[in-house]
Amino acid sequence: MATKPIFIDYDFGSDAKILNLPTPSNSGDAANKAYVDAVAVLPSLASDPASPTDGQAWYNSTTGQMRMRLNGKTCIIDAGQIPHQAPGTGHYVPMTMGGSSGGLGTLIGAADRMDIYPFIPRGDMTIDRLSVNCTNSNAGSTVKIVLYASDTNGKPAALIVETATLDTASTGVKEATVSQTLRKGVTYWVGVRHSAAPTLTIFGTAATPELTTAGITTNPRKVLRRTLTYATAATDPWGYLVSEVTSATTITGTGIWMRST
Amino acid sequence: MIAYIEKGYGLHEAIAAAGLRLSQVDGVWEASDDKAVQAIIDAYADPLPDLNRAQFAFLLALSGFDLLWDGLETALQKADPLSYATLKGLRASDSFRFDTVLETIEIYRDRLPQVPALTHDEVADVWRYTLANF
Repeated sequence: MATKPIFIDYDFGSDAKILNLPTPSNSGDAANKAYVDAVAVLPSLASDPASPTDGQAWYNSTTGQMRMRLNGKTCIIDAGQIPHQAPGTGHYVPMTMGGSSGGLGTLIGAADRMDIYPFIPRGDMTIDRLSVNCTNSNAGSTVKIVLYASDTNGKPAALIVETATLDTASTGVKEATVSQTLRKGVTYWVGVRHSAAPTLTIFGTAATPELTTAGITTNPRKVLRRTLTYATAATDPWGYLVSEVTSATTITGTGIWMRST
Repeated sequence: MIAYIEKGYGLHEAIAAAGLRLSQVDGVWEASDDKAVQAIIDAYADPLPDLNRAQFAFLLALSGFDLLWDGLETALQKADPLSYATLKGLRASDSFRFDTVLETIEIYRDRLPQVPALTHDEVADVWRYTLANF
């Protein structure tokens, strides 16, 4: 490839850190393209530019996302291809992959059980509640919802949220108030802790991602299950163990919904 | 302010079916319409759980209905083959709904004058006893 001259213009105006690569004027290149024969380094910004214009791209170091302004809209550039309906204020979003099929099931809890599964938001979301649905109460029982960040391998890592106890001595939707922003394309792990044996709604098998296992299995593995004394604070960081991948086919992720602000 | 009364998950399904919402947020019950939801809570009657085949056989034996049911089948076998077949099939079901059994009793009561006039509550009592003890 022949070397092409490019024109670099630093804009020290309101967006001082933005590097403009202007479309070259017609210099004899039939394709009229600019080539950078090296790694292109995007600007690393702690927050999005105040007034980005179409075609600008940058790395948001706070959210850990590559973003680009396209057709008047700031888009997150990643591999996510699942259609996403941005939730309205007060709407509930199931913490699934967004492609579930079939009805939801139920699962009876057990004292000191802790089940978590991975979840990737399909859009940036600020939430104010995390919820479960109790279909069969258990006298004196409560549950807690936990949310973990993931490490660079996508495995559960630092604890982000452990909610207050939710009463499952009665049936119905049980919600805990939280204040959290979740980022599109970022892997989180979410789950519940049980004090006893209420029955909660669970998602279907196709709703949550497959987990890796130590050997080939012929049934899907969906949940990391740990036994931890309920009164003890949730493990932080999680400390992944492949032996905690559940083996029973009927164990799927507990139905957890987040409420969008 | 909601005065919640635990009546099973069917109550929550009834509230949702009415287009209303009820949830417990940080321990406090919140409803989309307090008055309408409270009215459903107060009026809702928890239906009795279904019995499985073994439990239903226990209930029939305990109440003495097993012999009456046998007698009814015998009486209908030639007189009303369709009703006979319906009763045979019903008795072979995997599960039994309380309201369906009550309807069946009502349908065939006039065929067997010796069947005692059991009330809804009397049948419900036997049903609950069966659930609790078998």
